[in-house]
Amino acid sequence: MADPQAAITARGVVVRRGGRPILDGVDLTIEHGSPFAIVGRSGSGKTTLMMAIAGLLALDAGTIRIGPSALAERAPRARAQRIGIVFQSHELFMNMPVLENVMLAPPLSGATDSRSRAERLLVDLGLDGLAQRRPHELSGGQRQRVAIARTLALDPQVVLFDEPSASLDPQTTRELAALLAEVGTRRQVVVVSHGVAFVEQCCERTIRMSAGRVEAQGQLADVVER
Amino acid sequence: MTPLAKARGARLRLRRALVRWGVRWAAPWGVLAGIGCLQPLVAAADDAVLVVGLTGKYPPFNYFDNQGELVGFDVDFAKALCAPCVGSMAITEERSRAVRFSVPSYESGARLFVRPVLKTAYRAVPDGQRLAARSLGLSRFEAMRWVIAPQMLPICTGPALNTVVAMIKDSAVVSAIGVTELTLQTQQLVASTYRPLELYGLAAVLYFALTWPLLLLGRRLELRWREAGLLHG
Repeated sequence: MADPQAAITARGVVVRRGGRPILDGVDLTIEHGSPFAIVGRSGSGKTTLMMAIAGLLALDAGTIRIGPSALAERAPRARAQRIGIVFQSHELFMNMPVLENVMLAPPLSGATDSRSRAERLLVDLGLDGLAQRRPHELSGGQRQRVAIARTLALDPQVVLFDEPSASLDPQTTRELAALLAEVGTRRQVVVVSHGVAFVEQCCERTIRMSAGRVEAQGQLADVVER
Repeated sequence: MTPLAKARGARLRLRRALVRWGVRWAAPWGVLAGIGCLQPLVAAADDAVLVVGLTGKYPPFNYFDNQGELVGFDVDFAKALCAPCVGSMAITEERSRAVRFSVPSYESGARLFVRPVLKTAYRAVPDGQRLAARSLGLSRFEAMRWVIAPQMLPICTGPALNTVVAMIKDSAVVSAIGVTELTLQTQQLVASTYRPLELYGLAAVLYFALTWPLLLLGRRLELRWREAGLLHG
């Protein structure tokens, strides 16, 4: 039975692509707590698992729960308020300025103070002064922080990060780790990464994925291949 | 400022905003919708009767042969005309009640051109943008309205405007089947006035006046979108 207290519960999750299982029966429980890492080599299914947890692809079998209720039972709006995702390629909406990116979704869910909230988020993330810039004018690190602000604007209980340290320089990577730790104090953060060096900076608990299954679970120091 | 001047200022601002909105949104989508609506030309129904009166006294145009049959170019032409009676008319539900349309005899090339343009533009917007929109709780329609369509617009406006310009110039071709447009009208005027240079010159200027502003519009939009990072290459 799924633990209703857990942030994320996955049971027997199977996702196939062209007959081949990408996720082959994943069982996973992430209790509320410090940032959680999902590590594994390229092709181990970790990004697919993240997309499944975010509700962006259909499961061939199994269930995923965010908090007490199953993902499949949620309308897209309610799901987005529960769980947010920051994509590896950030996927800022190119057709709108930074501020509009951040304040697009909340009004659709009925928020009325989205502008002031978005402006506050931009300041918190060190993006003040960039509100009217277009995404293509920003650096990679700035784009990532806009993507984080956009996700946090809906105030989700769980935030997923897909390969957040990809293509960042060491200094920016350290700042990102500090930011994730801070974001993680108020909500559950899950980081997917193949780079152990990064997750060591912000996560303690982890699972290691291999061939579409959970190969090991526990403390980062014990689980990580050396 | 007097109240009148204030009102005028507000009106001007409103007009400017409307024009800006028009150039940014309504014009390009309107052009696209316009081409999309171009329907195939149609042929008349099979049992239509075309009555042609001929004297039979103008060989080789129309005359009676040895067997006493009416023959000649005019007869051949009338017979050919009866086979497909071509009319350049879009098939709509309302018109179908008054006109018996047959199977369309040809499709406008422009119409065939628009679908691939839209399809390509849709595919050119990265899939991640759709996923990101969905992850933020946007519905399919909202994602299209706020994220996908605004990014498709810059991509398809260039090719679409191209098509419109080509179509305006190609419209001269329909003079061959007797549709009175600019070229045919000019020909008729030349036939009665014997002033080809001035009249064809004027026609050229008119074609230019129709197409050049579209070109300028396209260039302006492209520049703007390039600055906004929505067009590359």
